[in-house]
Amino acid sequence: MIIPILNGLLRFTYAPVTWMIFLVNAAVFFAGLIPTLEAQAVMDHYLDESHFIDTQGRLFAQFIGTFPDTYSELMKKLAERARAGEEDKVKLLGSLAIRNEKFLREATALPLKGDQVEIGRWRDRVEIIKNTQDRHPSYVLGLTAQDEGLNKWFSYIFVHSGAYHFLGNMYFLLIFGSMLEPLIGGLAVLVVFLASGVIGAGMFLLLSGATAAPLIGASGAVSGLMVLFCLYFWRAPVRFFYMFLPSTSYVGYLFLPAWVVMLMFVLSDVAGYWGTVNDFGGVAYSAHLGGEVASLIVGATIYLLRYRKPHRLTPAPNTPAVGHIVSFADLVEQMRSPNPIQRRNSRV
Amino acid sequence: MPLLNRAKMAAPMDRLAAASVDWLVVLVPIFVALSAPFKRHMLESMVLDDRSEFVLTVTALALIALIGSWLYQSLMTYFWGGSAGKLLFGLRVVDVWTHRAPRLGACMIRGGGYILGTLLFCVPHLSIFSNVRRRPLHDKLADTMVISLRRPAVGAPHSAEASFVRGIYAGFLAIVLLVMGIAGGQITREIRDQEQLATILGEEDEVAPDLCEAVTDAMERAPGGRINDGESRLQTALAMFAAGTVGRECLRLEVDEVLHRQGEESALAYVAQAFVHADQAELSNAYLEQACKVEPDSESCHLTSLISSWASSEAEGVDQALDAIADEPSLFVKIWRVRYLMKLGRYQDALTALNSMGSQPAVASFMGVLKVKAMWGENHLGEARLLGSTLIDSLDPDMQTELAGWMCYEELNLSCRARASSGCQVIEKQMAEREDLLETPIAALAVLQLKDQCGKGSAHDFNELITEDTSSAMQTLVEAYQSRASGQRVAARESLRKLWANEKTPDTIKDEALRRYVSWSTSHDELTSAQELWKQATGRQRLNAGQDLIRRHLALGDYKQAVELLSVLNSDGETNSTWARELMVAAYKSGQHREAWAWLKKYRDGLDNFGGPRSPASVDDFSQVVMALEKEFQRP
Repeated sequence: MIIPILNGLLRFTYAPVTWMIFLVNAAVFFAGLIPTLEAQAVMDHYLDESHFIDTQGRLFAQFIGTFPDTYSELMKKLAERARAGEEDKVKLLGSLAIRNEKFLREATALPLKGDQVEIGRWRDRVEIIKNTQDRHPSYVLGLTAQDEGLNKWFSYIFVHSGAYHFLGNMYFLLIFGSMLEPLIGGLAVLVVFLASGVIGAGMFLLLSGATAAPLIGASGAVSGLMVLFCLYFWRAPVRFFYMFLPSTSYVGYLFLPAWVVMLMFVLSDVAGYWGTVNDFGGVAYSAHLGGEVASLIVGATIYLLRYRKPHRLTPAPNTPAVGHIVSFADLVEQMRSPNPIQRRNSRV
Repeated sequence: MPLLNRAKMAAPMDRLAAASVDWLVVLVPIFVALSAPFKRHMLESMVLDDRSEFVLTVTALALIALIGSWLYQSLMTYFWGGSAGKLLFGLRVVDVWTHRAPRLGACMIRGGGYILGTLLFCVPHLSIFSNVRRRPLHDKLADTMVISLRRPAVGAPHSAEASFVRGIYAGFLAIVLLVMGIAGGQITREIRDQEQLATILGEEDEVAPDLCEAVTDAMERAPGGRINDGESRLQTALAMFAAGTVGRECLRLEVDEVLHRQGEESALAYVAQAFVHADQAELSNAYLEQACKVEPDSESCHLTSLISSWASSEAEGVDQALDAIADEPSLFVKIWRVRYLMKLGRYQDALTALNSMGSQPAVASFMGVLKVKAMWGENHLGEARLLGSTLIDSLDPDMQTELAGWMCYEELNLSCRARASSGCQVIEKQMAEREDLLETPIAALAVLQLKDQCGKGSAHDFNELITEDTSSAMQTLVEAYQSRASGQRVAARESLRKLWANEKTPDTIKDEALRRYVSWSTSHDELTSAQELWKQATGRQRLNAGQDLIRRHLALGDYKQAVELLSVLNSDGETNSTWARELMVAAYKSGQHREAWAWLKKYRDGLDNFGGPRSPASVDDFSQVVMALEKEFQRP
């Protein structure tokens, strides 16, 4: 395990805006928890029903055949195989159909061929699912293809699909946001956060395309903060916590330059985006990339406005060198050392 | 060697931590980044079942991973003395002889050895715990060793540690051999199967849609070769479903073909869907309604009212619906009609209907079995036995169990000496051979009867028949048998009564519960309560239990009750000559000669062998009684 911990969290008084953003996210998360669970239970009830998924898959295959220009080659091939009777393809299309806004909007009104009883029941269920979505926080605040207006471009940032999603994003927000805020100010953090979220949404719509499944989460916005942090501390060592084996000799801190950290983030997002099949959904890497692009723009703007030359943060005298590794065993050893100078220097 | 001894051998845990850093921090992220363009291809080819594309992509990915890891290990060692992980933990790779950085060739060989060891599930790397100088395969190949710059040297591994690792080697080798053996066998089988398939299909590799194999076989057996279109297949599937030779899944496959793949709406397809979803009443009814919406005057539409009446057990409604169906109905309608007649105990009508159906290869065995049952119901026991014995060997295993179970069960109801009958012999044979025998309800009943031996069976045998798959109704029945065998007669009768009263009890078991309730009555009071229960029965159940009831009355010497009961059955049109014979014999033997003479005169025309014995050897009770009665009452 290896995760960035920088210098830990700064208190509310040092980073009030970061903490406020966190609190808003937490409030939305906890307020939406019960409605999310309730609505999701209703939706899962139908989406787990193989009969419903099969019917939906067959209708989606028929629909793709009717509007081939709207769909990718992969979807067209899948539809063709489903129409030929391959059951696994029918099921796959049935699961993917729920993401397709055009299908859900138009298919319920189209005269479709096949078992009319099943089609009638499917239409009823789709209506129930749509009604349920109207009270599902992820759909109410998330960005979907059917949304008009810009309000969802902001609101989607504050919604998360579950505890892991929320905790992951908030960890990085607090770690990087609270370090950045004393340097660039609370307003700048808020602007970068929101701008990264908005550009992330734009990038997502541009690269991946909107779907009936909502875009949610602060990861695009947080990516912006992370990249801006790395731009600011370009060569400074960023502290990571590692634990390779459960022994104090193999647990400790590792210091990597900020530019390497940024490269890792950006590369992993590029790789993620590259390796994702848009039709299947998943992590919105394109939104991450949007956030990163936004912070590059903001970083360049700050540089042009405030600095004449690239900002370089000079490491403090006691800051460990890049690539330095300090295990907990070393730390304990140094803490026990009778030499006070050595003991002071060992603090990181 | 002296240099080696002086070297500070690295601690194995340091090397393990270094390897963790190399893989988790350096190599995996790099591979994820490098494999991204291939990942999409891989996903797409996987989804589309494009095997060649998938294998190609995976091979490309594996090559990237192998070459990347090899270059990483080799070049890092050559230029910096170790991989990133080793550098972090202060480890260095050195030449075992010179104690200096190894040459490029040695680094490349070491890198290759490292990859090879990794491909073997890292098992060779475990030598750092067992080798005396902690040198795994790649170090031995390149004449290198790993030393620590920071920590004091570690010693050679403890003998127990080394033995443990050698144990892991042995285990790994055994697993590899086992896996290779299994894989070899599987590959051979697959090749053989593919060759067989290729022989059957010729050169065609066209993907056949999922259709019901049983229907395909039936279509192939059809005389003159039937048109193999969706509609005619569906007709056959419906007939086979009505006959109980295929299940709902088979029917579903055929309906899917018509409704979903061909997209052809038809009333017949909707009726079939109603059967497929018979366990969901609302959905099933919706399909029936849709059938009439699509083709209002079709046979299928008329059939919907038949199904509705059948489901709600409205005999009149069924009759009317059957009348409304065309003069020459489809085969599956005819089969439902026969089943309906059998359910009502109208065996003669059922036989007539069966005979009018002609030759139907798809359901021939089912028709044969029904004929046996109908003949038995009509008390043409000899003919039924003959046809059953002839038929039984030619049936498929399930149908054979059904018929044998039924024949054995009915024979045992007539006489405890029926164990030697053909049906019981088949069942006794299957008891030893078929584990799923008891899943066929009628066979389970026959087994129960066989074990019971008319109440003389072992007291502890019955519970053995209960398995995980035994239905709750069957379980209650077995428990009733067990209670009776243990002398708890009241509890046994109570279980039977509850079973009979429960609406969810399947008909076959309900029938048996009532029959046992009657046959286990040993006093007049018990028989009276059994008769009360019997009055609620209808159709075949009424007839079967009624006959048992008469038998019990006769056994208890309650001739008057038996006569009354026979009169009731007679007014229902449910008695036959066999019963008249038994009744006369019993009446005569109990001294009621005048009543016996009256019955003889009444049933004279319907009685078999009424012409009297053809030889002294063929004189039986009945013949003797007839002769005695004639002698007594025909005196001039």
